[in-house]
Amino acid sequence: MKILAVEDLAVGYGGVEVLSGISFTLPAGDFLGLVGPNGSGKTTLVRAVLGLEPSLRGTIELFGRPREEFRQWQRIGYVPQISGSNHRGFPASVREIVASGRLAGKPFPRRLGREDGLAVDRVLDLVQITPLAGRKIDSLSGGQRQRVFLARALVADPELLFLDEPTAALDPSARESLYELLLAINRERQRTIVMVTHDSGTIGRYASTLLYIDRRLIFFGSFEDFCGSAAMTGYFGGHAQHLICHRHDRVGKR
Amino acid sequence: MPALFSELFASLGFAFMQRAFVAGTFVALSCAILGVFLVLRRFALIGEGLGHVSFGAIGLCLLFQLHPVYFSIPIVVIASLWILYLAEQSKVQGDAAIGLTAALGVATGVLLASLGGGYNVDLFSYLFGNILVISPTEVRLSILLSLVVVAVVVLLYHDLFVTAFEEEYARVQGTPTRWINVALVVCTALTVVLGIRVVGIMLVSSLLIFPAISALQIARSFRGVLIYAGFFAVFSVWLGIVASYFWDLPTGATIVFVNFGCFLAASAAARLFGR
Repeated sequence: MKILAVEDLAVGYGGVEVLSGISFTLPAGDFLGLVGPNGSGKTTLVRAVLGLEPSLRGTIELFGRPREEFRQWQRIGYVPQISGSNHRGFPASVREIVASGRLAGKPFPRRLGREDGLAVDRVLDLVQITPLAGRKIDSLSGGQRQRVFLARALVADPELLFLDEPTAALDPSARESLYELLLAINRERQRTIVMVTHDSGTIGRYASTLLYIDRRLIFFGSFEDFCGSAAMTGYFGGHAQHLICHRHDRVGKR
Repeated sequence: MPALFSELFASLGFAFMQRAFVAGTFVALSCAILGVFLVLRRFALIGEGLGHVSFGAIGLCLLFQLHPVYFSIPIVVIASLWILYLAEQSKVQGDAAIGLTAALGVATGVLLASLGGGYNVDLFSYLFGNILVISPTEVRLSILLSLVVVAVVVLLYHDLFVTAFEEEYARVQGTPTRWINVALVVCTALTVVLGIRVVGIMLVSSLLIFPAISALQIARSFRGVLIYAGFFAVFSVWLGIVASYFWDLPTGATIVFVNFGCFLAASAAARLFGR
C-alpha cells in the first residue's frame, strides 16, 4: 500500500519555485532518508507534504487521499526542526508537551483522559525520558528536547513519521542511539519513516530508500543503487560518492 | 489592626464595594487566563492596542449618546480581528499591526473629543477607570462575558495550548489554528472592554500582562501558570480595591502597583528557590 505519493510537485514562494519536479511514492513500512545539501528544499518538501507550504503544482496523496482532503492527522507523527531559541521561556512540562501529541483525531472539545496518560507513560519509557517528565521544556538540552519531540510524535502511535533533522542537536553517541530507536520503530512496529538529514552516509546505513534532492529530484532508490549510480557519480564526483558510500555496512539489512 | 479589619468588613457592606469586588474578580480572572496565552504567543501588547481602540470607540459612543461599554464591544472586537488579519499577512509584523491600529483608535478618540466638545470629561474619565463607580448592569455584563471567556478557554484549552507552543505543529495535528486565534483575540477584546472599567484604558494591558509574567516566574507547568496567574490577578484586584478605599488612591493605578509587587515577589521567589 502506498502511504505517500508525490507527483510532479513544485513548491515556491511569491511565484518563485524553490522545489520542482519531485515525484516519488512510499510504501508502508519503508524508511526513507530525505537527503540533500543546505537549501536544497528538504524541509520545504516535508512541509509541503504536511500542508504547511502551498504547492504551486503537482499532487500529494496521504494514505490514498489527496492531501487537501486528508483529515486523519493521528496517522501522522511529525518532529519539526528545532533551534536553540525555540520554546525559550515556555512553561510547559515534558509530560504536557508529550501529551499534546495525543490530540490529533480527537473530536471537539478535545480532551485527554486516563488512556492518554498511560500512552504518555509508555512513550516516555520507550524514548527513555521518564525521569524528565516533570521538567520544564526550556530547561532541557537540545538532545533531550529532541527526544521529547520524538516522544510527542510517537505517542499517538502514528503509521507515518516525519522527522526533520532530528539528529542535529545530538552528540555522536546520542545520534547512534536515536537511529537505533528509529530503526526498531520501523522494523518492529512496521512504522513508515521519512527522515530529513544532511548525513547521507549514516542515513544510508539505516534507511531502506534514499531521496536525494537539490531543488529538484536527483535520486530516488536504494542506498546500494545510490552508491552504484552513474548519475550520482556525475553529481558528486567519484571521490565524494566514495566517501558517502564507503560505510556501506548496512544495519540490520533486510 | 483589628480596627482595620472591622473597617474593611464594614466597607464590604457598601453596594459599590461589593460590585467592585465581584466585577473585579471576574474580569481579573478572565484577563489573567487570556494573558498567559497572549504573553506566550508574544502578542501581549494587543491589550494595549485594543485599549487604545476602545478610547476611540467610547468617544464614538459618547458622541452619539450610546452606552459606552455595550457599543464599544463590537467595535473593539472588529479591531481585534483587523489586528489578527494584519498580523497574519507576511508584510505586516504583529507589533506593527497593533501599533497602527492603536494609533488610529487614539486619533479617532481625540478627533471626536475635539468635535464633541462637552463630553470630554466623560471620555477622559475612561482613561484611568474607576471600578468603585461600576454600575450593577456593568457588573452583570462583566460576570456574563467573563464566564463566556472562561468557558471558551476551558473548551479550547488543549487547542490553545498546542497552538501557543508551536502553531505549525498544531496545524499538522489538524488543529483549526486560524479559528483558535480568532477565539483568542475576540475573547481578549471582550476582556479589554471590561477591564477598562477596572483600571482604565491606559492601564488595561497590565491586567493581561502582569499576572501572566508573575506566574511564569514560578510555575513549573502550563496548568500551574494559569493557576498562579489567576491567583495573582484576583489578589491584586482585591488588595488594590481595599488599599485605594482606605488611602483614597486611584484604584486602577493601585491595582497595577499591587500587580507589580506580585511580580517582584514571584521573581524573588524564583531566584530563592531556583526555579
